[in-house]
Amino acid sequence: MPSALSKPHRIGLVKPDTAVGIGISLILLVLVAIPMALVVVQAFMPGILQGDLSFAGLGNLSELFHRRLWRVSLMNSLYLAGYTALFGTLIGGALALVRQKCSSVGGTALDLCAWTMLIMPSFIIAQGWILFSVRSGIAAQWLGATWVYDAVFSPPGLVAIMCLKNYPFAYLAITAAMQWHVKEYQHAARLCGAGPLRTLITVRAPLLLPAILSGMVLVFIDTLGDFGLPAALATTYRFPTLPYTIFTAINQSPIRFDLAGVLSVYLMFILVAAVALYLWLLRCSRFDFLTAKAESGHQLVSKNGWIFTAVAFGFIGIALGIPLGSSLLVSLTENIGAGFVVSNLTLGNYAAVLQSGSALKEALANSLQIALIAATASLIVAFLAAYLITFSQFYLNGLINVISTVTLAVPGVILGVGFIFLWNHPWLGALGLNLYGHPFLLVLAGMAGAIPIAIRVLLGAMGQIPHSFMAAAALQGAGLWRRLLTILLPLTLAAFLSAGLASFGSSVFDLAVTSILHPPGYAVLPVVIDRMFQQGLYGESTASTLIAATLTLCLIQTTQVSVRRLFKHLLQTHQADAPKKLASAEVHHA
Amino acid sequence: MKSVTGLFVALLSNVAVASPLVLYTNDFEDIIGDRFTADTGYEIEVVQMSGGNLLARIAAESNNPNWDVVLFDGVGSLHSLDQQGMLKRGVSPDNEQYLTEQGRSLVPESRAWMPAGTTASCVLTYRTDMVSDQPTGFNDLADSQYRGMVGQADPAVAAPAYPCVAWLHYDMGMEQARELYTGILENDLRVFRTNGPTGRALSSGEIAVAMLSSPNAYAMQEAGEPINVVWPEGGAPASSRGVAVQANTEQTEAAEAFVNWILSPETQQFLTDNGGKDGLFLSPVEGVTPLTYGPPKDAVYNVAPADWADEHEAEIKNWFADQAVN
Amino acid sequence: MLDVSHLSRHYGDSVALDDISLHLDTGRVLAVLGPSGCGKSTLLKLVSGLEDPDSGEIRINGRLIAKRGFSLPPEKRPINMVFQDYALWPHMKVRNIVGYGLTSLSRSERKRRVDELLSLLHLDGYADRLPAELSGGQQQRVAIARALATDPEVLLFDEPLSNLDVQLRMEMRHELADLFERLRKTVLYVTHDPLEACAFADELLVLRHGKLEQVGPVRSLFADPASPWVAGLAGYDSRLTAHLHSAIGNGLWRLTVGNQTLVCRLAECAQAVPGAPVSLMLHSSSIKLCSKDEEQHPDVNYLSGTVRQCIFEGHQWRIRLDLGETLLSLVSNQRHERGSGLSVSFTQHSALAFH
Repeated sequence: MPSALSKPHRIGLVKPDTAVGIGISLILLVLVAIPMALVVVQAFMPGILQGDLSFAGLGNLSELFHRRLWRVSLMNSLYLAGYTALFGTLIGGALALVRQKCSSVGGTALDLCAWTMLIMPSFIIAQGWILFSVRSGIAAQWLGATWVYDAVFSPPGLVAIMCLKNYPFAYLAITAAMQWHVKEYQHAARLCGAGPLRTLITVRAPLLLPAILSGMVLVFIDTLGDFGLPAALATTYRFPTLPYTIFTAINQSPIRFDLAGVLSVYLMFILVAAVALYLWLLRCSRFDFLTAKAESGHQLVSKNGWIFTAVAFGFIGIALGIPLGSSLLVSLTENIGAGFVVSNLTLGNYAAVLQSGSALKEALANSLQIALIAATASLIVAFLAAYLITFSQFYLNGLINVISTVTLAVPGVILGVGFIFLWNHPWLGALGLNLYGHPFLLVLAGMAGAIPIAIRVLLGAMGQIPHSFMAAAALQGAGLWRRLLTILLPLTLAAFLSAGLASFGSSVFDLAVTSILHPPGYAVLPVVIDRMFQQGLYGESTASTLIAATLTLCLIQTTQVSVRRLFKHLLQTHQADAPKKLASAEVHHA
Repeated sequence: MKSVTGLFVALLSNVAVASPLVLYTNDFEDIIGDRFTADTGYEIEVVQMSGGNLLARIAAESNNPNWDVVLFDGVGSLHSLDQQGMLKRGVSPDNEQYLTEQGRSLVPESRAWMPAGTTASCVLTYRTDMVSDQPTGFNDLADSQYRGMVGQADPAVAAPAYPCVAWLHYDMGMEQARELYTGILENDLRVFRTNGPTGRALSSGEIAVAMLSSPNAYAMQEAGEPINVVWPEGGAPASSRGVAVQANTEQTEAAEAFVNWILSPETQQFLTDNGGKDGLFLSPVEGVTPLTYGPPKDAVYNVAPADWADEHEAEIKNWFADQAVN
Repeated sequence: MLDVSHLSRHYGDSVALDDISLHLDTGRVLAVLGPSGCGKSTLLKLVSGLEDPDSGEIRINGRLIAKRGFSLPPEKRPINMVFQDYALWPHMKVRNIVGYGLTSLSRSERKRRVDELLSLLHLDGYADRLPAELSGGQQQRVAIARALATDPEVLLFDEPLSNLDVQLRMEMRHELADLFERLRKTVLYVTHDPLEACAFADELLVLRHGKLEQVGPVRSLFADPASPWVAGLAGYDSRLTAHLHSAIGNGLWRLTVGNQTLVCRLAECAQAVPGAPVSLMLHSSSIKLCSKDEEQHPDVNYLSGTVRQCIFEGHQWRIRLDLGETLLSLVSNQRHERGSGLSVSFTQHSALAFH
């Protein structure tokens, strides 16, 4: 018998939900909202970093039109993101159609390729393409294809690379939408006398349109904020984009934090507009009516299925094979110029980066450590935030939801700039909290990047848990923490695991944030790899990339397997397939 | 290796840990540390960054500098730091007595930094196998026969590249220098991040002519690359490396020992002999034997005055960055 | 025991619960009846602490557990609940589900208590099953066992039988009635099914649009529904329009339907003005067919009309009888041709007139 009655209770008791909610709101404010706000405010009050609160007017904003570099950066960014959104969606849509027509092996391979491309850091893909295409690269030296250089290092060439990197957003959105279709709608159209083509155009396509458009917006958002491609290109081809120009504004002398802020405001403005459009599209695509009679689209084994299968594998060979194959070959080669001959093959690059005291080993240790702490912490924060949004009536739930949705689209470069503004502020310095130049800041930045994604993944899973499960536990006398640990966590374990591993993987390879925030002399993986690449140590940089990627994948896989084995009874019986949840959460994160 | 958790604990407990002297440098990062400790007994942590990055880092840390001494190629930038009160003034190391006349001429009135070596920031370097008419001066680079085949490092990023552009603007006057560069840029000048990639592009044949810093140029020539180095008549634009102490350092003694150590003839000879291509510099002190394959003995180095270079830095860099956009 | 006074709850502009008061003595079973959206679930949420009231108070044994600005969290209330969807945690075995709230007991005591509860609910041998391995009825009983485990002072039921099929629902009705009688718990039982409510409730509370419509002992609701709406709920499914003619004492009135007259009770709420139109409500099963030459009883009403429609309902026919100015719905075990004449009768006390 609970002894609740014997204890006197103070009136106006703070509920545990409220306490947790305030804590989570504060964490999100400090990690995400305040840095973002400072970036915006800084554009209008450039003195705020020095503690000067005078308003400078809108003059700074107009500087965009005076500096050609910035104008060109803006135009380049819009060109790259716009065309990539268009052609990336076309590629994604075409592949979604191919997937329906080709063999199931081809379909699985396409899915796998899409996920790989989505998870792979863009600077690694871009470096692979550069090694393939430069005049001293694989295409020219080994295949004699000298035209590749001019084809790739041109604005359309870069669009092509970004399309091959970011098409999965469109592909996954469209594939998901195509999987569910209500036959009755098409039958009705056919009975009304419409031919197959008219049915496709007038019934099927309009139903798919919201998925196509939201895939397109996602490609746009991700391309616009991309830092990896311009960073990898920096030594080879000048194509300044907004994120990279922001990065250079705070990484060269004279340093211009204020102008980085201004450019960030422009970038954020475009991104927020895109996110708003995306949310609006999602609202339009409320296919509630689909759920009742929708059935999973069956695989049509087309007569010419082998052609489509060939197309699928051909595409994978280009999108994944060229950049990764180039990296692998370069890592195993002594000197690219010497050609593909046995005497030119070596493991020396691997030996060099693994020798004792190497920068790679230190960087790996640091980055894995940071990623581990950041992933764990962000997982806890995201779990609590998703709990609040799903199960509680905390009055700041709306704020938590908005912050975590908007920051999904904020690129690492802006986050990094905001972090400098916040953590290098003299006021914090006076409190002894000046974290700029401190490795711990990388942990916080990793969290800021990972929390929004983890929240979306967990929201998807928690949305499927009936509220009565938690209510029943409360009525058995279980307090908040016991409810979370014994009911909610076990029931969302698969999503919890996915969210944690995704956070871990992405923060190990986050080039943008680490480039901006890593303390001098503190080696971190993406920066070390990038540095090797910039110095032309291609063999060593590719070897490092492959070692780091393999190690990270092994760690993720080991964790996955051991957790799944350990909690077999939880994961097998009651949880939907975790990757699927991750998929729907990422593709429809809103 | 610093451990994140360890640092976090240290941060929370606010324990002052006895820290080594922290040096920010863009050169000699591999050889300075051990030798300095061996010579003087002071522990030192050497942090290497490319030039622009290093200055940006110092600016970002202006509230809370994490460095004690800086060794930087470009006295104009040191002048700027001095103007902001970030450098300790009136440094007079004993070894100043060894300075050559050229070296003495570089010591600023404020004595906020000491010269540590001079290099040509851009000499004309061309591929003998790709170029029939060898260029003789920067004006030639606007010639259509070199269209798309000329490269140089980005003044905003590479430490020696700004002194090059700065001297040309100082020497020719702003208008004429802009005219010169407009011509070269319109001839599809390729701008690389730093001198390293510029040299590699020359080596791979992506470009045929480069405005390269002298250490890179002579090191490539020595390595047997089919290139030729042209020292411009009247002297090459040059960049001076300086060594300075952070104004509020808590390690004044070790920091000044570092400045003194840099100026000793033994150190200068050590850096020359062991710095690889970085060893190809004109030492500011007497009695240093330069590398045999370096610039000619009578080569003239033109360094733009530090205050002028500093004053026009933003203007010139911004102009260049805007023009260099395709 | 359980005292609710002037309880209100709003969601934005819509009022879910409006000024509800009730009192329940220890050991009594109160059924809260009403259609979906009437506020009965909200009442349960407020009593259980899953939501907070906007105004009013809830007390248990005199101790305040919720009012505006103060709400004891659910885990601190001496209350437990059986959920509509049972809310059995799918990852736990029956043993752990039932024992979840027994943290204050030692391991052996807990096992003993769980076994005792499982035995009480005829679940012996199911302790190591997962919920997915149980039938609907067994899941239902596990949910009840769990709710009983913490020995709550008030036990809440949220439409517990609505997920069961008809057969099982009948069985569980008996089982629950039996259980309530044995345990003598104070129970608040929410349902939309009046038959379920009257199977084991001592008292009934009818909610409509968040407002209290009627409260009292079960029989009174069936005998004296306070409004046409409660009457509809209580199974008065046939209605016809009539006019008041004159009072004849004992609460009985004479009414006219077209040119026919009949006598019935007038509900208290109705304003008694001769000539006013009233709704006459009655159970369609209480309407008997009769032949015209049948002997007439004094306390029985007789009406005749024309068959307008006759549809088959599986085991009987439903007939709409045209009485001139109104239609009467009744059931018959044989078919009647459309257009044919028909006479019906019902007792004076089986019909109620509402103004």
